[in-house]
Amino acid sequence: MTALKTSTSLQTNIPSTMQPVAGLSQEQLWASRLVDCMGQMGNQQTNSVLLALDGSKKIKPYQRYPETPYFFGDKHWRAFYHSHEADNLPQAEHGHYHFFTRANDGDEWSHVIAMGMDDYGQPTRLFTTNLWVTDGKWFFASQFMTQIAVLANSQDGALATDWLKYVLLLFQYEISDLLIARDNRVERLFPRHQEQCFLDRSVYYLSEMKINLNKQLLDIFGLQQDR
Amino acid sequence: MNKAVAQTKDAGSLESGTIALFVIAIAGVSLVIQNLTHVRQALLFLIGVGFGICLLHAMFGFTGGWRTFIRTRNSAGVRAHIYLLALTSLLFFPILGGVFEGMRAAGAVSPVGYSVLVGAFLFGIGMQLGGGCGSGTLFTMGQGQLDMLLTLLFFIVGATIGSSHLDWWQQLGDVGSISLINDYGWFPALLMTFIVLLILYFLVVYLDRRKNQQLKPVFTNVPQNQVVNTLIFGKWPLWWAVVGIALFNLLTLITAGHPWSITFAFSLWGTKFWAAIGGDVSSWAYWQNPYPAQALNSSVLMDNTSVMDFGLILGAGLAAALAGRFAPETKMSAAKWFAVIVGGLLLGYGARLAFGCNIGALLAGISSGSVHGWLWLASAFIGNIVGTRLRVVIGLDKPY
Amino acid sequence: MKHKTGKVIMGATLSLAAIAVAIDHTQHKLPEVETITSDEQDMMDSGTPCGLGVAPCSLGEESDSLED
Repeated sequence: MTALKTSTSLQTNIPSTMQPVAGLSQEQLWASRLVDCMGQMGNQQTNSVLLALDGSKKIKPYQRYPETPYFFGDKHWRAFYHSHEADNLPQAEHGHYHFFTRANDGDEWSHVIAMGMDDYGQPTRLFTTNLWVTDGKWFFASQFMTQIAVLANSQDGALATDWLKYVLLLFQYEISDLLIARDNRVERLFPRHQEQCFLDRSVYYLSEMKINLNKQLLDIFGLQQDR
Repeated sequence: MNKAVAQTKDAGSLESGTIALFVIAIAGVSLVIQNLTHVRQALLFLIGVGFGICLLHAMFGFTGGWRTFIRTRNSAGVRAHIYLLALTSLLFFPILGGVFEGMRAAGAVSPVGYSVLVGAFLFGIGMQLGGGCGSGTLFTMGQGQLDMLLTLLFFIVGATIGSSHLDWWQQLGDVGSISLINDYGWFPALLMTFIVLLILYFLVVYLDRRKNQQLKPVFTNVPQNQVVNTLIFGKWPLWWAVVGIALFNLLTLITAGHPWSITFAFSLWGTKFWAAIGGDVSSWAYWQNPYPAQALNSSVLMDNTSVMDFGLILGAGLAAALAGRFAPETKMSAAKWFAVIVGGLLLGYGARLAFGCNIGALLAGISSGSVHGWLWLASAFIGNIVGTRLRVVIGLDKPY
Repeated sequence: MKHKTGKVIMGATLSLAAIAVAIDHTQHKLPEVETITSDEQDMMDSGTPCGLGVAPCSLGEESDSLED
């Protein structure tokens, strides 16, 4: 891990270690780790999706990348990237990550959130899908904070999964809002009969939100654009 | 037939091919950028073209203007810069002060410290040795001046090295970022800025009048029947460039969300190149900051500063071709080689330390109400005095 | 350096710069997605397109045995 130097009273205050530092919030620590990952990716002239593709020159639709989906968050989380045609996917989206979680070993995996990526491996949106899209066990919004805490307390691993981990941590409030919006939509569509919604193949998306990673980082650090 | 039209008629017959090439290049590049990235990047590219045309047609340079003032006290260039600072501040302060709800923009506010003090001083020396500042290097290079191409190459090298050292310089300390707009409100901050600019204005006019019989005018008239011709083929009066640059800068602020800047792109290009040929930049702390890390992680076409710089170069090339001045003869002496190499390195290194050049730190800083912009001005001007002397020492200029 | 030589050098420089930008841009660009056949599309449409399992999108039992 690259050591980040301390600079006092600069607009680009970055901590020198990852231990809690007086005056630096937990969110800023996560953001610093994410920026560290981005720096390493920049050094390697790569990005998170290229790492997942692991040298593949062409992408097969629906093929998961990596072939064995990532484990991270002390194996309580999984993710893969894929790309496929769908009438309702945005034009500018190359593909998306799907994130799954489970509370305990042996539990069924639950889909939490998906993250759309543009042609340059940068996140563009977060969205939730109907259950038929991903199968598995329905993930309740009330479980989210517990699972996020598990992620936050987990060990760091490889560059690719660390990037995913810290992006999830930084956008946790947005994800939480999306899960609540998802549940509200299910309730609206099928009041008191959500199982019917889960099987309704005409309902793909349940909630979505555009995101801007750069802006999120700048907001967290209270920074302005660099010159 | 007036002189401007006669000149351009002759020039036109020679340069029509070059003009066509530049027009096609500009149209093509903007379409490619739009297709590959986003319409906003294409707009920023075209705004860069606008800057290039303004700068070239008026030959609006900070370097020449400051050198002329230092050597002869002719203050026309410096006065034009003061007008530009005033007009840009007038346009920016209300926006940055939050007057227009829904219009989000961030000013160029940076810490006031040793890195700005030293960086701007080095940049100032580099301006005179290298023959141009940030904008000046780009537009003269776009014009096809080969010595400025060399200056730019070493500018990029210097900026890249600067980015690897910046952390060390910043450890020397600073008093933090000071924003007059945040501290006093946009209107009082604007009044303060105007007062200081007015004092500077009267000072330079006083010094000019002491040495010269007449003040060279900034506001010259162009006869009505020559306005269109002059607009297209040049040569513009300085005040046209002042208005043009201020307006394009406003467009930049609205489109990109921040003021016009130039030299971040140079350190980005150099660092990307270094990483591409196997260099390790992971220990360069500057690139561990959010915006630089994101830029290093992405295509260069996604970087606002880069696409604007590309536009500036091509816009200046087009303007030069229209004016019949593209690719002038360049004579390179040993002194000139020394000057462009050392000057370019100082420009790049200094700009990185000082959070920008004459555009990104001086113009953007002062018109954002940032105190670091004023420190930049003072320190860079002293550097220019040293640089102007050095030009005499190495034989580029006669003594004064 | 003469006018014509200057133009040639400038042209070469701008061309090289364009190539460098293209290389940088494509380096960061993700590979293209192949076109799916209609049979494959029908199979996906009837399955779970985005799950963790053996069908392109579900986890199932096999995923647990793939733990490292």
